[in-house]
Amino acid sequence: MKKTLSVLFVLILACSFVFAGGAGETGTSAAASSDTKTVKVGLICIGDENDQGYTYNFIRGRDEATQMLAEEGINVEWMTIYNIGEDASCIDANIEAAEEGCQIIINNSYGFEPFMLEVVDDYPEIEFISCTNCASVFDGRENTHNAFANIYEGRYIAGVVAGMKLQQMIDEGQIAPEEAVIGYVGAFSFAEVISGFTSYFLGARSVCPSVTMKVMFVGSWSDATAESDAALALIDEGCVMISQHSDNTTPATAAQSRGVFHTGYNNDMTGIAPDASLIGTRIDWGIYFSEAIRNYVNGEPIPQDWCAGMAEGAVVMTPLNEAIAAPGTAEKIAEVEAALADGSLEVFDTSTFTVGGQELTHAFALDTDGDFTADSEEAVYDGAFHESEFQSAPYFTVQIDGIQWLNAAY
Amino acid sequence: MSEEVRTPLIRLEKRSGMDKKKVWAIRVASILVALILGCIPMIISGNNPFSAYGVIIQGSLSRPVYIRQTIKIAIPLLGCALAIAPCFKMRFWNIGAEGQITIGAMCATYFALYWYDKVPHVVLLLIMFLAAVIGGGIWALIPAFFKAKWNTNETLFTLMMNYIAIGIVAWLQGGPWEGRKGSQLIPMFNDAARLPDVFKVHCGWIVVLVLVVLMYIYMNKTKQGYEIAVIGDSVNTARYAGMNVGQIMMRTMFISGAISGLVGFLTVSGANYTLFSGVADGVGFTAITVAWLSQLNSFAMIAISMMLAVLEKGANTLQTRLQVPASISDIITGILLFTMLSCEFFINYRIIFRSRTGKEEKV
Amino acid sequence: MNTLVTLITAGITFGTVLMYGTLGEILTEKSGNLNLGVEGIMYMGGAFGLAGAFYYEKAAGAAAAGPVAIILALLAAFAAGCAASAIYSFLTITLRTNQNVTGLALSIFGTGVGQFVGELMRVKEGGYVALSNNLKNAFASSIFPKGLIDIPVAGPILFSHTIFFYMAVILAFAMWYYLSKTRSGMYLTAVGESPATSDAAGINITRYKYLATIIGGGISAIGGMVYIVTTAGCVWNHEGLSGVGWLAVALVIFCLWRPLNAIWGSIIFGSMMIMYLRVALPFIPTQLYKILPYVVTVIVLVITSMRNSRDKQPPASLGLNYFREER
Repeated sequence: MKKTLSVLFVLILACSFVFAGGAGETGTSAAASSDTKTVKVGLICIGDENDQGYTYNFIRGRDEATQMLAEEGINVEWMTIYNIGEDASCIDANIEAAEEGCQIIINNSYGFEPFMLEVVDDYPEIEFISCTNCASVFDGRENTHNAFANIYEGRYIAGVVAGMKLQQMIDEGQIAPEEAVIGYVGAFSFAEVISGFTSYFLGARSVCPSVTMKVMFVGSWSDATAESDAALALIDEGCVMISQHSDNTTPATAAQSRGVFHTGYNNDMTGIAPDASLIGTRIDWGIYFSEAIRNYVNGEPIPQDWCAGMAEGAVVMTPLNEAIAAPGTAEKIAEVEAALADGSLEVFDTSTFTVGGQELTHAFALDTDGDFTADSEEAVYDGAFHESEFQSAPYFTVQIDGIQWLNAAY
Repeated sequence: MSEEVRTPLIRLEKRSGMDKKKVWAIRVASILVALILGCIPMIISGNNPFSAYGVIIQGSLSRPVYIRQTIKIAIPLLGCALAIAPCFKMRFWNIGAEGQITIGAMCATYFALYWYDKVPHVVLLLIMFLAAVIGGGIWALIPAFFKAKWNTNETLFTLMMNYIAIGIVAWLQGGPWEGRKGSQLIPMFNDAARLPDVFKVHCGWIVVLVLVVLMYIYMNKTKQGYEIAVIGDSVNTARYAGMNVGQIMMRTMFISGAISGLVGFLTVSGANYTLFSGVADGVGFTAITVAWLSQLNSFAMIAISMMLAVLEKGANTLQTRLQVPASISDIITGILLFTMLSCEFFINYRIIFRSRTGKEEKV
Repeated sequence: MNTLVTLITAGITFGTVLMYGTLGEILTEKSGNLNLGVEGIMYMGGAFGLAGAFYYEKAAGAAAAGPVAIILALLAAFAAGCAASAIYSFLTITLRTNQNVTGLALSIFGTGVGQFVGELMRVKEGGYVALSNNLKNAFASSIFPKGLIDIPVAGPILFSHTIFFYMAVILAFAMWYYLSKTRSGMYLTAVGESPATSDAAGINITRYKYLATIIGGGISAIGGMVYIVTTAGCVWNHEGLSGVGWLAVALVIFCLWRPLNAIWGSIIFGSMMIMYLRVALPFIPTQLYKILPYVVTVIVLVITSMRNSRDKQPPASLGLNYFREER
């Protein structure tokens, strides 16, 4: 058997090399022709465009960066690898991208980083980027990088839009003030998500004082079924406004089907839920991708830890659904954006929230000893919690009053 | 059915002792048929099948790194196929290897996480090995016990055990063993808990190759192997011969589960460096087909598992280079299994057509 | 009480998916064929069902009508399931391959085909593949007027579901009637119990096995389609269906091979799978709730085998091929 099969293999091998001549090995040829400023970039994704959310947003960033760089005479050749799990298959995907000639490899999901870091030492000449995580910046390696944007600014504004809608419903007598409950579908109970829903809640409460929030974690970045089930469960608990920190659009569809409102993440979901979705916020990854790739081509270092916000255009709001938003929302958005830009408004202003009835006076930002608990760099000063200043990945993990965690297990 | 006895148009006759060369010719032909059928999805996706197959071969075998990656895929497949062989020989349909791998991996992980600074490197690896073997074995013993005692359907029981095992690991991942709170990720293993590389592939390949030989000897040269074969032929014969069928079933399942558990250990400690609920990644199911297609012959399993690994690794490259969805490897694997399963029919049976003249033509 | 109502209502959404998978597999297993390819069959049903509706809408544009899309999606999924189980039938019945191995092969193959088609659509369309809101509503809305749904307790439980749920219930009753009240259904049961006796009695074993397996596969495949057009929001979801087929196989055991049990059985399983979001039991971590269906199935399996009561067993010839000449 072995003999016969090996003969067969040699045959196939021979055939394929004869026939395949030009088809394969495009990677090496692309890498070799550096005089035309072509750069090959790998993008490893947790999902695909069908999520119309998280990965779709990266693909848009990819295409935008390609266009921006083309105008500068830089030709980017992308190798996009879809539907990789946050598990060891990520190791293989990084090796694959490296071997196929990528000069920069971008990992788009939080859970990819530990697996990516298993590969980086074998390819010191390749730049590895882990979006939304925080170990690469401190690992002492030159070729690993982190990047994130101040999405909490966008969430704050989305919260303002939601709050105005809720206040309008209260004013029109559709709901009682205490019925202004927001339901939030969160992926996991850790900093990035906590920071996101807290800023969202603070935005809503700044215009609707009676609002409260319930958070349900689904234990996955991208699980369409669980996200939908969680949104429905929240609606059944009396929530009249749904928002999400998860990759799919199913919370929007759930809100639409039950006749409650919704604000989105990663994408404009008003097309999917025209009667429910008010607005969305997303990171414009094109800003970062173009900067990183430009630096690489020009021989400059890629920032070890990149972070930008609304002022730089890295966080943007999707179009407001004027048909259902409360009157005056657009003006309010402009006002808040301006206040955030000139620094007169701090999202995590410690005078606007309490923790166990007390004002927050102390919280650490960074974990330096690897036990997964922050232990250095005071984040609270000048009357506010300063998010994403000591590292790009969020580190706000405080449970504030007014937000109820329905299941903290995830 | 009509009363009068007529010769049907087509009838079958059991064939005995087909020429060995012809047997292999049929098997090789079935692989070729599968590869030809595999062209269909390639054409549908708008690619020249020749160049697509070319990319598959290049992506799996053209560079040392790719060969190493391919072998990394083949190791658990081969190991697990070896685990399944004795059960299937006994006609005990253990389709729970997926869960046995997971439990083995889980038991090894416990020591990797909590004992890495307590004992020396080699001792730690030995403890992990033992934990995985015992854990996997016991997990497999549960359905075997019920089968022996109450004749509970083992196919369905072992199948259910898979998802229970996976669910337990999913809980550990987000619960007691979680690293950064809320991340659902178990921390990466310390270097002390990792298997050493030999020729830049984790030493699991040596372990499974040794197992190939051991399993061959066990199945063909030992009393226990003989007992398994007898039960596989007929449980009643075995009983008549005075064998304790229940006990042999439980013993064999323990061995099978132990080897699957070992595969789980090799995977977490050599390839993944951490535990997650998808650690078995379908290997437990695919390995069943590997074992069956190899006619439960240990050495043939090497070739079959390598073949499937080449397909899987090659398909990843096919996706990155030509944007053909990587799931094409599952399609071709499936077709390959279908044709190779079917070809046994033509080896075992002779088809006899009744010709118009009433004479029989043998094919 | 309110939690229970909402739990059951929500459980039915996923339960409907399982019900099709299970009903199809019951029909298959009644003939003595243990088709472990349900996982793959449901993947194929999902991908082809979505493709049917998507390409219909692409061709018809704004004129696309909900009922037509539903019928096309049903037909596409059913046909895909039939084709998949036809392969299985041909291999196991005619070519006499091992049922377990062939079923697993079909699982691998079907999962591959489903994911391939789903992904290929995205690659060909150069972006995401989604249906319009118009069709989404047709797929995901209740067929009853709002007045009925608003009735407390009974409204949400009885009237708030998609058309697919009511079709599945009707199908379950039809299968019950067929299996226990018609001659042909009793023959089918006899084939699964004892093919040799049935053969001697002049029943065409091959025809029964082929038909039951192929139609059963088609029914299972509809479940995959229902998942994609309801829970997944009419978008192809790469991993969404993983494990659903196996859950359906478990449910067949839980239902003791009876179609009517599948109705409440699937609702219980569906509720168990989402219970972690809605109910907190003492001492058991919520993450473990998802294994409950499997644990319950194991218990049922063990208890029925211990009590060894004749009417609660799997069909006697389940998983075994029939060779007339070896009779």
